[in-house]
Order: sequence, then C-alpha cells, then structure tokens
Amino acid sequence: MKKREFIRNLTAAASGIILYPGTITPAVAGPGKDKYLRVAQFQEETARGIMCNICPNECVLKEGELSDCHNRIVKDNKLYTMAYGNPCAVNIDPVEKKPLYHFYPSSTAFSIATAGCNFACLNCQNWTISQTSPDKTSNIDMMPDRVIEYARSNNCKSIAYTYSEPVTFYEYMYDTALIAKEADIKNIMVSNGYIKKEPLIKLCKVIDAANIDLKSFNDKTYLKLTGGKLQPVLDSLITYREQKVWLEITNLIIPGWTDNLNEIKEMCKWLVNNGFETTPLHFSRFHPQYKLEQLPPTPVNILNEAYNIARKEGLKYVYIGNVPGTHATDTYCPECNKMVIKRRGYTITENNINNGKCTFCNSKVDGIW
Amino acid sequence: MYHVELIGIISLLFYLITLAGKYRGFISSNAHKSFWNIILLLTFLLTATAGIFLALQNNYKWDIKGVEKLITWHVEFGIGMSFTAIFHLSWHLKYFLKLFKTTNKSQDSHPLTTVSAQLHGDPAILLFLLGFITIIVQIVFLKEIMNISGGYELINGLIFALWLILSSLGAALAGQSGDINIRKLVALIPLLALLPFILLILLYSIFLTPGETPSMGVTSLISLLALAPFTAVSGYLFIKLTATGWNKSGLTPGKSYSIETIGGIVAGLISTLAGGYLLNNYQLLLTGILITIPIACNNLWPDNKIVKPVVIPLTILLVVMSLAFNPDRYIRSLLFRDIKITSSNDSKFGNISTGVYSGEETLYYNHKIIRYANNQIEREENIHYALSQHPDPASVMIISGGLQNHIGEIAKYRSVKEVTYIERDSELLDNELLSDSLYPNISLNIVNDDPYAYIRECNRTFDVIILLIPVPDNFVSNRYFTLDFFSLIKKILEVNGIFALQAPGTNSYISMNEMRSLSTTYNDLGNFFMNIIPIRGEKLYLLASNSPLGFDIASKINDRNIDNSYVNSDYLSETIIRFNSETIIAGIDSLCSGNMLNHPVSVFHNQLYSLSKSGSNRYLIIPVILVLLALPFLKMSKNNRLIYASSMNLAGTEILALLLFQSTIGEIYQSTGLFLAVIMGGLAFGSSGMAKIKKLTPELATVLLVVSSILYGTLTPVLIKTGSQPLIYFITLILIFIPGYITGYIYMVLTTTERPGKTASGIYSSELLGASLGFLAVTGLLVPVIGIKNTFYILAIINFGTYISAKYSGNRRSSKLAKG
Ligand code: SF4
Repeated sequence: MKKREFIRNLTAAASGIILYPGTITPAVAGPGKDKYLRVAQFQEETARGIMCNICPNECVLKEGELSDCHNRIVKDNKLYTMAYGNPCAVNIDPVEKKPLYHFYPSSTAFSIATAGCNFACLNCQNWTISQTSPDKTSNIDMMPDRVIEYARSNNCKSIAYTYSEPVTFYEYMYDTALIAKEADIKNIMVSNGYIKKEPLIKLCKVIDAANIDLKSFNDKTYLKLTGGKLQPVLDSLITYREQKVWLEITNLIIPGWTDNLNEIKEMCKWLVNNGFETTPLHFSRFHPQYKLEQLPPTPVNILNEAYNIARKEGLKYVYIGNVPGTHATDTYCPECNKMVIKRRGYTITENNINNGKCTFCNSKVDGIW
Repeated sequence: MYHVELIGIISLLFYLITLAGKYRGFISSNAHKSFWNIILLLTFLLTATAGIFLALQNNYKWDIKGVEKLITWHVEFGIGMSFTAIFHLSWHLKYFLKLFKTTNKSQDSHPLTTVSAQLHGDPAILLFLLGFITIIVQIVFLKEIMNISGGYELINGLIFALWLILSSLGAALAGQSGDINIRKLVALIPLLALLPFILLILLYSIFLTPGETPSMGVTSLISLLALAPFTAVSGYLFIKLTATGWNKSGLTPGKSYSIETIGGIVAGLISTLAGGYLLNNYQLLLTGILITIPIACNNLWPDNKIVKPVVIPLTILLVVMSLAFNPDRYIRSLLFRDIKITSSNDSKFGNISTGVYSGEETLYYNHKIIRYANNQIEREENIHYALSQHPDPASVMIISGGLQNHIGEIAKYRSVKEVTYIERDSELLDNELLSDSLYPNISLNIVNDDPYAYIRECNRTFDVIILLIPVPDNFVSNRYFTLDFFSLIKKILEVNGIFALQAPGTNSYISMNEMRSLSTTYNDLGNFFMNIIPIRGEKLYLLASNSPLGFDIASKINDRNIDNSYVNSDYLSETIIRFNSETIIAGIDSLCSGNMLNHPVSVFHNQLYSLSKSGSNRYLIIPVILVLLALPFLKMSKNNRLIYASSMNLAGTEILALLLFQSTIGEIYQSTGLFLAVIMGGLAFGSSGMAKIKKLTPELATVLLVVSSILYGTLTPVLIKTGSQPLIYFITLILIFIPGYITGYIYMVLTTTERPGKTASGIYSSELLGASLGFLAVTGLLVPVIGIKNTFYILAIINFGTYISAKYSGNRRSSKLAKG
C-alpha cells in the first residue's frame, strides 16, 4: 500500500502538471447508485409498456426491465437512464485517433464513455463496457460540469463521447455537451449512428463533429455482425449532414465479413450519390477482437484496394487507419490534387492549408481547421 | 437469448440423477418413468399453449397481454421438451437396437449368455482394441478442443467429465439391455471413432461464425453432442464385452477391465511417443483407427476370405497415404474456413498452423494468432517501451514471442551487444527466418529450452528482460506472472535493469476481472521492484525497475535518433501516456496479490474474463453441477461409495498432476497420453487381480488413497521449488499410479464374485460418476479457490470421510469379498 502511494506521488510530482482538478472519485455502487439515474428523454407510454424512442431498437419495457442497450430501466412506470455522471472509461486521446482528420487537427479530446451499446458487434473492441450495464462496471463519479473541468484542466480542445455507444447515454452526453458548448469546448460523437431522427436532430444542436461507423453495406451482414440494420445508419448520416455537423465516416474492413470489394464499391457509390463526396472516409484495419479472435488482421492490400475504389468513385478524402507508415493518411486538395496535409501518425508534418483553403490553388479544403 | 445449453445441461443432469436413483434402487423404474412423463407432458402443454396464443396473436392480431413473454416461454419449454423427448426416446431404444438383434433368440435366457453365442471373436482382443481406440480418440479430441477453445485447462476437466458421464450412461444401458448382437456394433467401432471429429467440424460451423472462438457454453455443447454417440457406445460395449468374456472365456470383470485398460496404455504410449514428433493430431487419429480395422475384421470374421487379401493391403495403403499427405492441413482448413491453411504441424507443445488470407500470411499457435504481416505497432511496442527506459542497454533477453519480429527493433539501439532469445518450442524456432549476417554487431544466443527452467539455472545478468508471453489465462503462461518467477527475474536482472511484460487490459476500459489480474501482477512485482509503471498503447505493458522510469518515451526515442513508425512522437504524447497510466494506477486493487505456481489466482481472473464474453457468468453453473454430481453419493450403497470416492480421487489427482506439470514443466499437450497410460497401467494392474493383497480390503485401500493424497500435497511445494524435471516426472508418475492401482483394485474386489450384470454396470457407473465429479471439482472450483496443495488435502479428507462411513456402515460384504 505504502509503495503504491509512493509511486503515485512520485509520478504525480514528476508530471509537473495538474491532471485532475481534485481527485478522481469512484462512483458509488449499491443504494447510492440512484444518484446516476435520470428520467430518460424520448420515452412514450404504450399498451405494452414504456417505449424508448432514442434508437431504432425501440425497446418496449415493463416495470424493472432493462433495455437492449443495458442502461435504460423502467421504474414506477417511467423510463430512466442509469448512465448519467458515471463514466467507466476516461482517457485523453488525440483527435486523429477517433478518427477525425479534418476537425481541429493535432488537438486532444477528453474522452468518456459509460457502459452500454445498442449493437452487439462480434468484433467489438470495447465489449467489456459495451455489452454490460453501468451497475456492472467500475465507474468514476463525473457529473457534466466536472467533465468540462477535467477537459479544460488537461487542455483538451474537445470532449469525445466514444468507446461504447454514446446514443445510449444520450442524456449525459446532451447535458455535458450543452455546458461544454457554453465553455467553448467542442463536442465529438463517435457512434454507430443507430439513432432515431428526432433525438438526433436535438443532439445535433450541441454536437460539433461526429465519426460514424458504417460497418457494412449489406443488410444481412449488418444483422449478423452487429444485431442492427443498415438503413437507419444511412438515414442518420443524411441527418448529420443536413444538420451541418462535421462528419467523417469509418468503415472497418473485417476479413470474410466486410471485405467484399463489390459491396465497398456500392457503398462508395451511395456516398457520392447522396452528397457525401467531401465527407472523409476512413478504411480501418481490423484486429482480432472479442469473439472474432481467430480472424487475421485485414491484409493491407485489401485496404489499398478499398482506398483506390473509393477514390475512383469520386470520394475526395479517403484514408487508411491502423496501419502506421501507409501513404493513405495524407490529405489532397480536391481541386488541384496536391498534398495539402502530410501526416505521420497523429502529427501533421506539412500543412498547406490556410484559412481552410489550399495554398496551391486557393480552393476550399473541407473541414474545421 | 434462449438458454439451450443451460436447459440441456440441467435436464441431462436431472435425468442422470433419476436414472442413477433408479439403478441404485432409491426410486422404482415406474417412478423414474412417471417423473419424466410428467415433465414431458408439462413442457408439451406449456409449449403448445404458448404456441396457440402466439398463433392467435399472429393470425388474428389478438392483443394478448404479456404475449411477448410467451415467445420466450414457448421456446424455453420447447427446448426442455426436446431434451425430455430425447430421454423418452432412450426408453424405446430397444426397439431401434432390434435392428442389431438376431432372430432366433430366446427372451427368457440370460441376456449375457446369448451375447457370447453371437460373438465369434476373442473378447480379450476386442476389449484391447476398444481400450486402444477409445484413448486415441480421447487424446486427439482433448488436443483439438483445447486448440479450438483457447487452451483453458478447465476444458480438460470438462471433457473428461463429459466423457465419463456419457460412457457411464452407455454402461448403465448395457446393464439393462437384453439379448443384443453386438457384433455389428463392434465392427462399427473404428468408424464410430471418426464420428466425434466429423461432428466437431460440423457443429463448429453450425454454432460459430468464421473466426469465432467458442465460449465455454458452446464448447460444452459441441463436445457433448460430438462425443455422445462414440462414448455411449464404447461404455455400452465395454459392459457387453465384459459379459461376453465372462461367459465365453471365464474372464472376470476385473480382468476385462485391465485388458481394456492395457489397450488404453498402448494408445497413450503411442500418442506420447509418436504424436508431436512423428505424427500430427489427425494423422495419429487416422493411423490409430486404420490399424485396428484389420484386427477387428480378422477377429470378428476369422473365416472370411476377403479380410486378409483386401482389408490388410487397403489399410496399409491408407496408412501410407495419411503419412505421406498430411491430412491435418486439409482438416484444419475446414475449421479455419475462409483462411487457407498452408501448413499444420503438431509439436510437443501445441499446434502450429500457417494461414493465408488475401496473400498475407498469419502464424497460429493453438489457433491463436502469434505472428501476422504488417505488425509494426505490436513489434515496436513490445521492444521500445522497455529498451528506451535504459540509458545504455547492452544485454537483452527476450522470452518467447518471436525473434524475427523483434530483432530489427532491438538492433536500433546501437549499445546492444548481445541478445538472448528463449523459446521452448523447437518447431516455432524453425519458423524464424533469421540470418546472422543481418545483425553483425549483435551476438545472438538462441535457446531452445523452457524459459522458466533456463532462467532458474541462469547465472548471469541482463540489462533488459522482455517477457512476450501473453497474459496468464492458462497454467503455462501463468508461470511467468508468479511471485516465484519474478524472484528469478530479479536475480538475473542488473541492479538498474528493466523488466517488461504484457499485462491484461488492452482496451480503453479495464474490466473488473482484468483489473484483478493486473493488480495481482502489479502488486507482486512491487515485492521486487521500487518502480512500476503501466504504459497503455495498443496493448498494456508493465515496466518494472529499481531505477526511475519515465513516461517520456517519445522523447527518449527521438534523443536516440531511432526511426520508428509507431513508437515515436507522431503517435505518442507524454501527457496522454502519463494521464492514462495514472488512471490505471488509481484503479489498482491493493488486496489482489500472491499469484503463485501453487495457487494460480491470475488464471482464475483471466478465465473469468474470457467467460464473461458469453454475456453471463456461466461459471456459477459449476457449483450447481458439482452438487448434482455429489448428491447420488449420499444414497449409494457402501460398495458404490468406495468406488465413487476412489475414482474421484484418481480423477482429481490426474488433473492436479497435469496442472502441476503445466505449472512446473510447462506442457501437457504431449504428456496427456503418458499420464493416461500410467493411470491406466495402475488401473490395469489393480483390476487384473495379479497384485491382490490378502488383507487389503477396499476400505483399507481407501486409507492408502488418503495417504497418497497427503503425500502429494506435501510434496507439491517441494516439487515446485526444485523444478527438477526428472524428479517431477518420477514422483508424479508414481503418485498417479497409486490411485490408479487402488481404484482398479477396489473395482476388481467389488466385482470379483458378482455376476456381471447390473452390479458390474452399477459399480462402473458409480466409478465414472465419481471421476466426473473429481475432474470438475478440481479444475472448476478447488484449484482456483484454494490452490493445488490444499486441493490434495481436500481429496484426502473426502476419502477419509468415505473410509469412516464405510467402516461404520453395517455392510461388511466387500471386506469379505476381499478376503476371498
Ligand atoms: S457499435 Fe461499437 S461499441 Fe457497440 S458493440 Fe459495435 S463496436 Fe462495440
């Protein structure tokens, strides 16, 4: 015990910066956990129980029942969220790790997540929090105002609602984002896009940027791999764009599941035809995770082929993620095709954008710079 | 989510209990059947009613309150009904088995005498073949299921237990069934031996999506279904052949048991000697099956003119083909599905397969990925977090994880003069494509030895030691995360040296079980090092040293002008690393510590973590199963209790010996066959009657088991401490021979003067049931909770209790039996 305290003091002293405005307090388990209950937004009483109208799962729950996303519960005939002020994951990440390449590059994002997700992806990297509920994880007591304090004291440009599925901690995200907006801290949502239109429109008022996972372009694969459907995600993409939230899309290529190049081509076509030509698309390399541990990481040649297809179909900003050293992390001007941003990892080594414009041809490079 | 496995397992266990109750005479046959008829009726009624309501809702849009619940009820009761129907079917099995019956038999004659009349072959040879083929199947199946399911030892106990329960069911059926011509069944045995593997591959593709590792529940279900036909038939045949031996050649059940066991010993020895050196897993299986075919045919149809000229050459041809064209590659491709398997070899320690997907190669070790193309993040993290902390590393030791992957990274430090790489599996070393000339300034010392043993004997020191063995989710990898090992590391590390290891907890959130395992490792390291820091990259690493350690990894790399593609300032920031490390340290639980060879707590935490992938804590089912298996003990006759307790001791000792082997010598993949052979040797010797000791009653024999368990428990810490391989082999083999001998002896005494019918099958079933309990209790509960040494003591206490209860029960028959 003493040794640990010594080490903790040593590292804190050596850091020379104040990481926490106070100490991180574990969230209370047991009877005190009501502190983290809030009446859920977008609920509706039906003859069969209370319906949650946040996501297309449309759970209809009876007294005491838990939603599919593991964090909404009916008590006294009212739907409550159990995920408010009790994140289980708190980290600082470079914004490029989300990934967002066109949104305040080289800044950091204070990243939080509570337990719960409305999908059940077989490859989920964060399954220990996404497939469980807040009363089963060890949490940190962090009400919205504290999140902003932490973000500010750690010089984070933004707060990212990430790792698990922020749609399922909608109320916590919304309230935090509202205060953050007033404090001029940006809000980022990293999500599967499985949300209904009405709550999404409300959310878009406080969210500045989003990275949405478009997991496949095949409805059957979507269902088998994630338990969700494709169409609601496509609808969400359109809403984000219409609501003028800065959007980037990630497509994780999983060997044997989502690496069909014809489907990738179809997906790119759909994106171009629906006004996402200038939305950055990140092809991400799969690593064996959760239930798919025996699959190999995505071969780099497949990622390269996907990249070429997307460029050929007319998408302007295409990237490859999770492969250090690849050429496909640089940004090219959509007009003159010259390299405007050269990246190495999360660092920009060359920047030819000035006031959002290409320094070579003066045309607009999309993004929030 | 419907509870197919849970309902299936619970129904099966209840069925086995009422079945055992029926055979033991606690309940009448009618009561047993009535009970299950009522269950069948109830499940049918509930399923049907729910179905009707659902149909009404669907067809006529009736809004029935709670109808959604009915879907669950409909399905859950449907599952219950299906399982009950299977049991029901077993009562009418005779009808189906009539297919095997000859037409001119008398229903009145003793069933076992008519059996002998129908079987031409020598029962002794057939018993030997049965034992041989059964053990070959068991060994290959165990290895395969370990490969497929992630290599957890708990699976071993589970498979042994399932095997025994199913065989006991077959044996019990044989005790009840009448005039059956088993000749065709005997002839089918070689083919039936293939069935578990065909079913395994088939069920694997039904239950699992490509690339999926099965959960414990799915593994149990697949194993149950795949093993059921073969094991039940082998248990059934054993009893029938024993009866035939008695009727035809005067073979006592004890002798039959020992002959069958000798078949098993031969199989165990062959698989130990040939498997992993000469033959791959499926080669071993096919060869084993093929060589039994001509012997079985010749024995069953001695006068048939086709056997010798056709069957023998055909078999030889098939054996040669299986040896020449490695069938494992093709069979494993079926398991890996989308991935093309280009090579598959079994070493002494496990299976090594190379898979190709879209032109990129992946190396699998026991179906886990250990090397893949474009792995720069992993290889840089493995090396640079540790090496960058040392101001001037000259000597580096890498423990497993691949040298070809890492040497290029190490060579970026110009101060490094020598690298020692230790890998126990020579086949894995063969996969390293290294050329000395690539790194002329580094002296490479490649050691093919067990790293634990090598480090224990090592008498020099290193600047940096990097452990690349994955997190301790089994007993072998756990050896390297114990207090015992850390003390050895401290001994061979320079005073200011750096020790690094991969810790559990890779993601943005560290789950409770991962945190317990991480805390244990962190706190245990704290006993030897002043500074320990976690570094979270793509994986989580723990660095330990008596010198100060820093989070400024990127600047350390820059200062040395090292050109990395991931571990550099482009990706890493000191602030972020520090923040994340602080958060992890804040979560460390100071109460978790003390991971030891004798008490591998980290294995338990990591296995719970893996089990949680299936969504619920299925581990809780283990105590329930144990209680259900233990219940019959209370109502058993004295004789059955004695055999039940001794076989539990035998099974427990066997699994403990395997775990101790894993913990000290570090392998069971190869030794399983040897262990089975020695145990079976004990069983054969004991049951043959050759070593009958006049005054040794079954009760006194039980006392010997108490002594051997106490002895083994007391020796456990000594064996762990010495680590001497010959000593561990010697003592372990002797100590597993003793319970084998005693169990065989008790079996022989109890069955010697009994007519082999219900009694023999009853004793055999009790034996198998006791062994199932032993396997499950030890792996699933006792070792994780109280450690290896104390588990031996618990076994001793249980046997002592049995001795006391037997001694003071009124029945003195077995003592008289022993005295002849
Ligand atoms: S949507 Fe994301 S968090 Fe949810 S299960 Fe899928 S991968 Fe995990």
